[in-house]
Amino acid sequence: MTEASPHGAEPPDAEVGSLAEVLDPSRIRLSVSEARLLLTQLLSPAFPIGSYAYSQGLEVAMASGRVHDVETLQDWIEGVILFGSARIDMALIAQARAPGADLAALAALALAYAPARERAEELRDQGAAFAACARALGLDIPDLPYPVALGAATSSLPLPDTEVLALYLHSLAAQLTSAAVRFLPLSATLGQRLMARLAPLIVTQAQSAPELTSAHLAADLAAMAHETLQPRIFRS
Amino acid sequence: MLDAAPLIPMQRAKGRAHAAFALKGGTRLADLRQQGSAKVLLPRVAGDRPELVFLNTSGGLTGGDLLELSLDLAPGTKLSATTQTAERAYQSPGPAAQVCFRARVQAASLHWLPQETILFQDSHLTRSTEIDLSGEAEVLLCESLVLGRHAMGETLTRARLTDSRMIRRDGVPVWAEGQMLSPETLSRPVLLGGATAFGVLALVARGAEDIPRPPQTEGARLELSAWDGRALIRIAASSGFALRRQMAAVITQLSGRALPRVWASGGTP
Repeated sequence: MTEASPHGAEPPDAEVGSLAEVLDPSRIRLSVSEARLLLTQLLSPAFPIGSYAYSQGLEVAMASGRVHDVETLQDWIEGVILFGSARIDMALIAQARAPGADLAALAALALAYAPARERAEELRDQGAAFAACARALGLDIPDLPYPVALGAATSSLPLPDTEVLALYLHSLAAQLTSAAVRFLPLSATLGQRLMARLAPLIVTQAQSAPELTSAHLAADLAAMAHETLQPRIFRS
Repeated sequence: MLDAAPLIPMQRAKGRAHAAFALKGGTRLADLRQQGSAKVLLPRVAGDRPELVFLNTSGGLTGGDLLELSLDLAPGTKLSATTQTAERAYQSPGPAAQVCFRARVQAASLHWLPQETILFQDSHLTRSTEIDLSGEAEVLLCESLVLGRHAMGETLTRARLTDSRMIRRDGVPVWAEGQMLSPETLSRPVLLGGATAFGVLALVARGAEDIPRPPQTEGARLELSAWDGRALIRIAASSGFALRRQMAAVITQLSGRALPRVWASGGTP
């Protein structure tokens, strides 16, 4: 098993060139079913972007006891998805998927909306690792902050934004749930039950019009406080 | 929402104020335009950084109001700008009250330090703050929000706010945020973590990442994050008073000077 360095993916293998020609959706149109599988792959926890290393401030909320069981975890994750930084991410993903998107401008926008230094590093480092691996699959995208990279990589897939956004929100919820299962006395089964409970909310939210707004002050404060949290096991 | 408009149009306040400053042996007023409910005051202050005070003579914001404030700072100028008093967003059936603040800061230094905005029950406010820096320009910005009239024991459950801020340097976004509040967000205590007043400060300047952490004052929680020429401070407080005290301490430290004088006479009820 190879693990991604949080500061960049491993160097691409030598045979990547031929693989690229097979998978490049701009040259060979993927069917909807194939595109769906590729999207699932890109957003899977196994895709080497190191998402297991980031809690987006949740570690502070857990260390302080504010998030301490499955109910308080659900409150926190729902807050992130409905009213937190996921809204900003969704808007950036959707804009990056649009034809003719100005990716450089969206990259600057994504970093400007980072609520804290570690979140900016997370956006940048995860985005670079994502882009490196996406290129190895034949998706021709430059290094970009993560949501912009995800939007750019999926822009040519024959899938609606709502599907990409729903799977993105699901992967984010899974990332936070996984962080909580490792930090709290919380069983993996309870974590999975929570993931299943979040499905209707994820589907509904993915259909909302994305906006560059948020209301999760507690998460922003936590993301800032994380810089000085000791001890800590996550990078954000 | 046209179908929600009252049959008799309510009196709406409109105001627009613009001031420009240039370097003429110090920072000097170069242009001033005021219209409607927006006024500009320029109290005499000692030192090399004049103070400008925006005044909204309508006494508060309600649905359909439009307030546009703008500043233009020429190279080499320094200005501290604020508002005359706490701004009140009143109950607003129908459309939102709109407030826009724009500033162009060309190799100059702006401190934009408005006093707090108090959101009343059923208020509806849309506000945008856009600051364009060029060259070696710098800005210190603060924004304070108080949820409900605390002295009256009001707990805010119904208010709508969209409050967007953007600072660009040479056209490229450096810092941005969009704060929103709605009855739905106000019903989720996890989001504000129990705070009934909160604020943000942003310093975008060379070396901003090296500022020391300001001390925390009573009744407030302060967090700092600073990187790449910007420092962000967020404050969550248990009252408008605690927020103002913490905000004042941070501004005094970051600006290296006394608060704008009107801050002493304004205040949260």
